[in-house]
Amino acid sequence: MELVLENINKKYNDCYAVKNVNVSLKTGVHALLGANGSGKTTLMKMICGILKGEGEVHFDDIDLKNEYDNYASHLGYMPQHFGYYPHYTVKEFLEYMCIIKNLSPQYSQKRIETLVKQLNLEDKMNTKMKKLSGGMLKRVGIIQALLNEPDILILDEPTAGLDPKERIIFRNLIASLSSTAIILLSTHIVSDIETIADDILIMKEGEIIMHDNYDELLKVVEGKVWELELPTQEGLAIMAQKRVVKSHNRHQSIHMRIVSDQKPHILAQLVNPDLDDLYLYYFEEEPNDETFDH
Amino acid sequence: MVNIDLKALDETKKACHQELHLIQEKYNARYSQLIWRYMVKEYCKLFIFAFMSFGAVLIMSIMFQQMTFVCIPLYFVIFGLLALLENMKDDLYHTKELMVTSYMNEGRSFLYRTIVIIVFQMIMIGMTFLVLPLNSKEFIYLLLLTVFPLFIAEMIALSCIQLIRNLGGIAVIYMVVYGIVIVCIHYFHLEVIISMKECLWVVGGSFILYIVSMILLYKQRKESTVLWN
Repeated sequence: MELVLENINKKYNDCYAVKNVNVSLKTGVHALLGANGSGKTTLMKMICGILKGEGEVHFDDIDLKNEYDNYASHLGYMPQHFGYYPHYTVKEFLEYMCIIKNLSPQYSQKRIETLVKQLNLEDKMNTKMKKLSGGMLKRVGIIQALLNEPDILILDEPTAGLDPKERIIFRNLIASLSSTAIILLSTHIVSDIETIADDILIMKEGEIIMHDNYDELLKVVEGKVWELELPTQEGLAIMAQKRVVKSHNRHQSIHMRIVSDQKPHILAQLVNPDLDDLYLYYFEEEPNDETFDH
Repeated sequence: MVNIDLKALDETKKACHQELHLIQEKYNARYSQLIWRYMVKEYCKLFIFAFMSFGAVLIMSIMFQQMTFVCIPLYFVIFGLLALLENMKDDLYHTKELMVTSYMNEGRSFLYRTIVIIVFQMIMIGMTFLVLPLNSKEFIYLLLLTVFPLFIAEMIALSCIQLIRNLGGIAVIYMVVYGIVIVCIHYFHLEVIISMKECLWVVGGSFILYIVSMILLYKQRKESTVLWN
């Protein structure tokens, strides 16, 4: 199975929301990482056929433009904020989704039961949609996307609003699907990506600037991540100048994790990078990139 | 001589049958089944409401005969408004993204909703004229006050949905068009000057116009879902 995006462009007035995207995605979990406004949602909507734009999208031999019915039967989509009829119960909503996906009644019933059990929503089946918490709504959103056992699963910010337990359930579910579907999920919660993504696409200003697996991506920031503990006053001065990933106050001192091309302080220790560091490296301008000379 | 592995061929055949069986189990094979399930899910409450209020309107019309030409048109005005609301549900509840990416898509959902509503409206209109004791003049007058403006107003309002995605705006357009048609009927005394045959032609013509415009709108919506550029 392969999802191919060729020369995808989307312009709003004179500004590119998505620019020259050429990607081929195979079975597995692909994470789309980027800041707000980087074009993640626009790209996902284009893959789903919701937004018009330039370029070609194919799933195996199925063309999105010319065979949308066929394409949509392989597609599961969970929008960032999905709409629902508030007076429907969870059961009614899922049944409705099965109907509009043209799934047979017998199949729908079995599939709903299985997914509801997997995502621990059995006791909420008769609750009105409008009474569900944010986390529960997300779970219902994930279920509706999985109803037709999609080969392409597009999840826009699926873990936003989930508590840690719900996130673990979600990760396990995605991991179980990764061998049978092409899963593209967008997030800026980097810890989700570290655990489940096979490869990561980094988007900035509409373009995919990097596409590789976790270990390869981290090589970019290898030798650029430092940890340092300084007295509070001196620490605050450093924080104003450098890209600080994490900081922690300890009595009279501050412990910091800094991303910098050069050693930020004589006492700084080089450490192994993680995705947070990479994210900050690409998405935050360094306030003042002068080297600390002691 | 080509050496065909018959065992492999048989296994392929079995695998194909198995796949076909899985697909048949997974999807609705008949459109009628899909439309029926969709209709029940979407319109069950609307139909119950329509039947109950229809009963109340009929009782009022029979008890107070002078109210007939107010109650019945008012019933169809409200019914038409609810039908418009049903057609705008996806915009109202932001369910469009889910609808577009499903088999039903924007085009089919519009078509099925329109078919269901028009069939139901025809049933209700038929029942009205069957149940109420009307002479031919009253029949023409009621037909001109209900069916004719209903089709015209709904047709124009539904055509405007693509441009004005606001329920209030669409409701105003619907009411204004309905009102204009009623005023015109009274201004030109159509109920007096046209015969039964002419009246049926007018109503039939407006119905055909409604159907044609709905088919065009369906095609437009379906294409807007499928085509990219």
